[in-house]
Amino acid sequence: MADEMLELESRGAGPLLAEGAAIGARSASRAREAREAEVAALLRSLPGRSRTRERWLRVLLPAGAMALLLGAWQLSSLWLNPLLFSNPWRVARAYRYLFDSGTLGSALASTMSEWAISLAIGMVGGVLIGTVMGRFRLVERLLNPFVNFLMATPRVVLIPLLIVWIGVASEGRILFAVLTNIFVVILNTMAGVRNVNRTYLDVARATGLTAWQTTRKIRVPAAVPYILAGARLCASVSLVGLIIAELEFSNVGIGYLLQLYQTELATDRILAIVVVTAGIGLGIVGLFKGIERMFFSWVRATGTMGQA
Amino acid sequence: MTADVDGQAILEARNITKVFEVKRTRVAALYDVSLSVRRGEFLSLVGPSGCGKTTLLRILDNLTTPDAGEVLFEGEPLRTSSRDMAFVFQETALLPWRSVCRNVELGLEARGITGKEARAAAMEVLRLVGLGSVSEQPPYTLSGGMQQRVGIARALVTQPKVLLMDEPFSHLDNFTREALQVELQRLWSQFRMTTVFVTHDIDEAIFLSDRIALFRSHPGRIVDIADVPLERPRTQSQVRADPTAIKLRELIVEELGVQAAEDAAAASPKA
Repeated sequence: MADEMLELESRGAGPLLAEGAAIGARSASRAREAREAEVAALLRSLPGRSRTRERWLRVLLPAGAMALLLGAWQLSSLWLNPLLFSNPWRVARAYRYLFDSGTLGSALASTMSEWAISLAIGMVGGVLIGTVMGRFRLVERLLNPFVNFLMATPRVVLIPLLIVWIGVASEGRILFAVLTNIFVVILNTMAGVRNVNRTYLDVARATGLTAWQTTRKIRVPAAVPYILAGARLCASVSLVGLIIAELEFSNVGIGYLLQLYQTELATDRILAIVVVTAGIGLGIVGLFKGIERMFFSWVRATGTMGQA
Repeated sequence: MTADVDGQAILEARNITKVFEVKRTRVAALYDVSLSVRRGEFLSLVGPSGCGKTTLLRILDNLTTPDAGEVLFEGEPLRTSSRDMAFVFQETALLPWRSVCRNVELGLEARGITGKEARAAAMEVLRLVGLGSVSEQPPYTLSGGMQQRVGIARALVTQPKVLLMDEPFSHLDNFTREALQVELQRLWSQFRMTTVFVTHDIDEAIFLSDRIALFRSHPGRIVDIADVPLERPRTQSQVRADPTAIKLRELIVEELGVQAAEDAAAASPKA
């Protein structure tokens, strides 16, 4: 009898039925349990959206295409000169040589440490210069011609000057990389500290923050989405700038190896290095995604450009 | 009529005029408005949207500069945003890169209070508004009502003499809004800080206020100030049923409604 009522109630027959009968609070809680169980069963019985197919396609399709391409390339050696066009097998062997001999390791160490230095200089300098330019009209007027002039100049044309002035030294390469990477940071930071949500600025004023506090506590953090976008570009552009410098004037680093193997027609080694640099590029993207997720999760959570 | 000469005024707006230019036509958001806020009172500014009530509130805290007139705070002309006043914004305007607690600390940092001292003060206010347990969360993970509580906590942490609130509850659902109204009344009764509260919700104004300033637009001005002679503490149901409150509500609706009709007539010249 009680079970019947319970069932009736759990099917949504309403509390009226339960009220009249001698069903106290205990049965009511049993009824609630029964209803919860029913809802849970219902949720379980609902067909879940099958993602298996999608997932297979996402993994298998590109993997298959890649395998096909590599296979065709390997086969191409049957009628193309493998010395010029190489093949996956030769590239793998070249990679093994580069790795085992330590050539790649020392080149990478040189390139990546100079990359890190030029990235740091570009970021710190770019954010500082961009913030000051964004906050003070006078400074912006003063620096704008220089920024525009340098940005309009293809930076490669400065290499002869750098060689004459600094020579084939680490400083020259880093300076060249900074010249290529800093402007994107300056411009982004400038845009960021200017386009601050007006309400945040009202908060700053109403709270009684000084101009300097407002810049430090409101404008620069609010510009973080812009600065992060700048940082990602800065990181990849730094690598490009550095490798160009190494190709042109260097006896160390990835770029130097490339230039060396070019004169030796060692296409397999060149290709092995290409693959490695692609990996580094991916690594940089991942690194910045990680930094963003770890330290600036609010950027993603509150939308693209920090407008809360 | 709005001038207050009994010397209780803590905050005074004198002959404020503010003109906005909208698509090359000049609109007087406020025209020759004077208002005197008494020490310790809860004053609401009520009127249709576009009547300049928010503009007046911003002028009171020097967030907007008037074209004519001046604001006196404790008898002195207001030069910058006063540190004895705090502002609660319509959108909560919490900084997403700071935790709830660090948001509340912001006002203290402006006064050079940092570190443990600031933290302790912020936590105390957060507990006061019932948010002690979410102090380390980022503000965007909270519900709208909780976010607005943080906004109030941020304003209260500096123990301001005057609290200025710009439609703080207008984005919230009914249940949350009424709960926060009760909570605000409790905080106000506890601290007795002078409060100027902008709203377009007449019931909200009646529930919270000692006095209600009624605004009209075109040009924005104060047409009347109504006293709310209800005992405190008030409860929502009690105010809803109170004959005085009902009568007051009718009068206000009538007074503001007349203008709505006038506006409608002006908008359609044929009628």
